[in-house]
Amino acid sequence: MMGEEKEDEDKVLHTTWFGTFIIQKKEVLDKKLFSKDAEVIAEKKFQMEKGEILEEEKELYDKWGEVYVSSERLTELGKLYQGELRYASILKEYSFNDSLLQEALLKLGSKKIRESIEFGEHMAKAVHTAQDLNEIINIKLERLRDWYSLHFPELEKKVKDEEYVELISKYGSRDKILENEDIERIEDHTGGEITEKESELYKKFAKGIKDDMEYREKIHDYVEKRMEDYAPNMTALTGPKLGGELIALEGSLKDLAKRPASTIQVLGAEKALFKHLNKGTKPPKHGVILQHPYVHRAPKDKRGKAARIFANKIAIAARLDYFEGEYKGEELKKQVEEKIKKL
Amino acid sequence: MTEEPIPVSHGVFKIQGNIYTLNLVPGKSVYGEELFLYKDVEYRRWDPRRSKLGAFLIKEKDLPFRYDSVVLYLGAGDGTTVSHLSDILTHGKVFAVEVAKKPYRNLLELSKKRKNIFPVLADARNPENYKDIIGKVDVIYQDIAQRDQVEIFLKNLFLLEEERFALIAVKARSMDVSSPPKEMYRKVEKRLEERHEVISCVDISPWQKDHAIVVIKR
Repeated sequence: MMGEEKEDEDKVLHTTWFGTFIIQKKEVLDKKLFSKDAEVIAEKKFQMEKGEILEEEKELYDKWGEVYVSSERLTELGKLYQGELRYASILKEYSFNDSLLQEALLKLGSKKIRESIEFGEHMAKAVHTAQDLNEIINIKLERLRDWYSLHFPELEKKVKDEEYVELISKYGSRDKILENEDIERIEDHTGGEITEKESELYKKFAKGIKDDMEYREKIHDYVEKRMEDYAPNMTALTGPKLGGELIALEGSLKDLAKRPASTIQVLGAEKALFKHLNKGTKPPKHGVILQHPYVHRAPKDKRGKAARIFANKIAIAARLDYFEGEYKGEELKKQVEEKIKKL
Repeated sequence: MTEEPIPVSHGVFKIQGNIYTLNLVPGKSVYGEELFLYKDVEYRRWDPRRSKLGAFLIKEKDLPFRYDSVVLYLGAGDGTTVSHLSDILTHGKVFAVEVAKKPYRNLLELSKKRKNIFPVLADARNPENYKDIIGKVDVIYQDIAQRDQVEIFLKNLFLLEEERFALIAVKARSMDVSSPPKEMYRKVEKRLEERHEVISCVDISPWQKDHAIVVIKR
C-alpha cells in the first residue's frame, strides 16, 4: 500500500531505556546511547515519566530536523508516528544487558517511592495511631478501674481519668494517696487490703496508661501544627482534627485532592454507602464531616444540603493545599457560612 | 500415592494432588509456602487459594508459559504469583507492574534475589510509561481488581506479540457488586470478542470466589 510505503520513508525519533534513536526504513540512522550505568538509566526514565524531553532527544532533533516521534511525550518535537513500531529486532544489537535494566528499575522504583512520601501520609498514620490509642486507653482504663476497685473503689468517683491514672501510678495504694494528696477520707470504705506486690502492679499498669495518654496528646499537637503548616486551607475550613481525619481516610493529601466533593461528603460512611448501593437503602448524607458544627448544627432536614455545601469547599481546599496554591481558607469559610445561612 | 513429581506444564509439577514449581532460589520460601525435596531437587508449593493463576492451572491443566517466555504481569501485587512465574521462566523474564507502594516494596525485595523479575512501579492505565523497557512480550497476565479492569487490559494488548495469549483475571465484584458473576464474565467475554479471539473463560471457584480467568489470542 502507498500509505505504508510513505510511512516507511519517515524518520522517527524513538527512545528506549538504553538510548535515543533516529530510525528510517528499519534502519538506525543515528543514535545516542545512554551510559551503561544503572543510576543514569534510572534518572533518564524518571525524567521521561515526568514528561520531560531528554538532552539526547533534543540533540538528535536539532541535528535531523523534521522527524516523527514515537511517544506522546515528544509531540513538541514532531508529529506522533501512527504506524506500529517494530523496532525491537533492529535495536537489539544496541541494547544493554538485562541485569543493568533490572538494577535501574530497582533504583527508579526506590527513588519514586522515596520522593512520593508526602506530609499527608504521616498525617494519616498519626491520626490512625491516635484512633487506635483511644481504644487501647479505654480498654486499659476500664480494666484498671475494675481491678483497682478491689482496693479503693471510691477513688474513681472523686477524680478525673487523667488524675486517677496519675495518682495510682505515683502512689499505688490507698493509704499513700490519702497520706500525700488532698483527698477527702472515706468513712466505712469498702476496699480490701493489698500488699506491696499488688501496689507495684497497679503502679506499673497506671504508668503505662499515663504514657499512652501523654503520647496521644503529643499526636494531637503534631496534627494541629502540621496541618497548619502543610494544609492551611483545609485547616482554616475544617479545623485540624477533621482535616486530619479526612486525609487519614484517604491515606494521603494527594488521594484526598483527587476525590470529587460527593465522595468527600460521605467519607467515613462507607458502610451505609455500600448498603445503599447493594440493597437500595437510603444513601448516607454525610460521613465524618458530620462532626463539624456546620453540619451537625444545621436543622436535621437541612443537614444533607449543608454537608454537600461543606464538602464542595473542602474539595477545593484540599486541591489548593496539595498543589500548594494560594491561601483562600477564610474566603472558603465565608462562602460556606453564607450558603448555609441561606438554607 | 507416589511422591514422584509429574510434569504438568513448563516448570510446574503435580505431587500428591498439589501443584509445585521448581524453586529457583533453593532453601527460600517466599510467602510461607511449603518446600518439598525430591531427589535433591526442591519444589515450592503453589497455593491455588493464594494465587489465581495457580487455581487456573488446576482447572485448565495447562498454562501458556514456557521456560523462555517474556511475560508482562499487570497488577503484580506483592509477588506471590510472580515468584512462581519466576520459577517457571528460567530463561525468560517477567515484567511485574504494580502501582501501589506497599506491595511494590515486596516486589523490590523479591527481585533482588530473583534476576528474572523486573519490577515496574507504574499505573497499568499508562503503558506509555513502560513500553520503552518492555518491547514485545509473549504473554500478558493481568490481575487488577478495578472497575475499569477490561479497559486497562485492552490498552496493554499492543505490547503482545501477534498470535500469542493474554490472560485476565476478572473479579466480578469489583466491576459491579449487584449483578451475578456469570453475567459479568459473559459481558467481559463479549467486550473482548469485539476485537480478539476468546479462547476460554475459566471460573476458578472454589479456590477464588467470584473470579474467572479469560484467555484471549491477539
